[in-house]
Amino acid sequence: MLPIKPLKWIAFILSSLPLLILILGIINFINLGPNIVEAVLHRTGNTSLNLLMIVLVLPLMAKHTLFRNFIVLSRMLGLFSFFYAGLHLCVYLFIDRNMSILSIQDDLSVGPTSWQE
Amino acid sequence: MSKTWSQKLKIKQFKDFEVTPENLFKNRRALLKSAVALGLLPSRSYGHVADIEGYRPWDQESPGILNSYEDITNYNNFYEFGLDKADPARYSHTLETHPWQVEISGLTNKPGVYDLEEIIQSMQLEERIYKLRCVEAWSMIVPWIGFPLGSFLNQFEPHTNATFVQFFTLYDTDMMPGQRSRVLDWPYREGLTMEEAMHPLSFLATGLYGKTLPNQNGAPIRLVVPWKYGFKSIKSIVKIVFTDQKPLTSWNQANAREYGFYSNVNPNVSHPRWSQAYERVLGQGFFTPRVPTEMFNGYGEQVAHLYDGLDLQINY
Repeated sequence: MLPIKPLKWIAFILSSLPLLILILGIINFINLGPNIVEAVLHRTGNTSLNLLMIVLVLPLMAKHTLFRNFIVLSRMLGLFSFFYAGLHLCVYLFIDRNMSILSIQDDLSVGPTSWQE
Repeated sequence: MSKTWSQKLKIKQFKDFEVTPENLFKNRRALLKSAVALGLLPSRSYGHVADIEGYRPWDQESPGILNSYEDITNYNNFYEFGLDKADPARYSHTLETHPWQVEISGLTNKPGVYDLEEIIQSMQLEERIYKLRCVEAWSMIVPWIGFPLGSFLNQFEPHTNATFVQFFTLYDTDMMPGQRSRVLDWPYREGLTMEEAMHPLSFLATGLYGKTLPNQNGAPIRLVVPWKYGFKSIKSIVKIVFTDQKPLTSWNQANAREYGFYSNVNPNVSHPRWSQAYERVLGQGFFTPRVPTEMFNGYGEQVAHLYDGLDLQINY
């Protein structure tokens, strides 16, 4: 079993990697495809959900496997999940919709699911 | 000491140790190739594209800044090769486009199966820089090469009672593995009214950016109807039918509430799941905002008369 301190550092670095990729993509250092905003929206959303899944699995791992000390990562990974969800919302509001209330209203008025796009 | 010619021209002189030995850079290329093979680097497949000679270049104003060849060939909706935008570029190498035949049938004096090579040789190729507006609210500017649909169809002398044209994509689950999934009722089908098909803007493309079409963009021949949403511009056409009945089209059949037969670009009629009022122009930076969508994708002056007296809220 890994001691707790390096475990936390590894988790921190791994959880920060998606953010690093996004920043490199936004400054055009790596290629995220022709639709950067869509790529950033998809990546932040997916990362947030993936981290949430991991957080939900941690208690089960602690109970049924040998990775008992992984439970100490719950708070950090939960915060990371929240952070990526927040980024996702901010990119939608301020970048994708450019804070245009009209455009957001228009998007919401047509129905509850705008997921495809 | 007199100066050598390269010193006079101020060309940088490389010392021996600065030049990468040939065997080293060959190794590097082999390394890159194996990285691609292992999936560590993205492969960019353009199939066998060839340069097109002797086409008439576009002499009018471009509707915007041209998107790069890389953008146009790596962000495609072509469900025959997968649902992700990058899938067609990755997986369309299975499509074999030589030889290729197009069947013309229905209400025409000259039905038959025609060789694409002969068709292309008989047409004067020209360039058309069009804006492509996807139903998913993004757009790009593409320099197509091909010939007008109307003059092509007229060669086959359609009957006067032929009021619609229907198009079919190839159906071949080996060459188009995406057709094994049931996302759509294959083969992909599209249709236009005869008036729309005869409009001078309607175009059959066989190339883009001075080269023949890469598979992911609908090789070897595809439709381009710039005032309609992109999915109307059917790819890899094998069959064209003249008919007097409104033809079934794939997306309309899959979901009639979301995709109409006409599918003209219209900022005032929302898709049931998202607004069509704005679009994202691809290839722009992260901080570039969306732009308002234009009626008929900006081609209203030329095509609006086709829909006089038609309620576009109902006939979307």
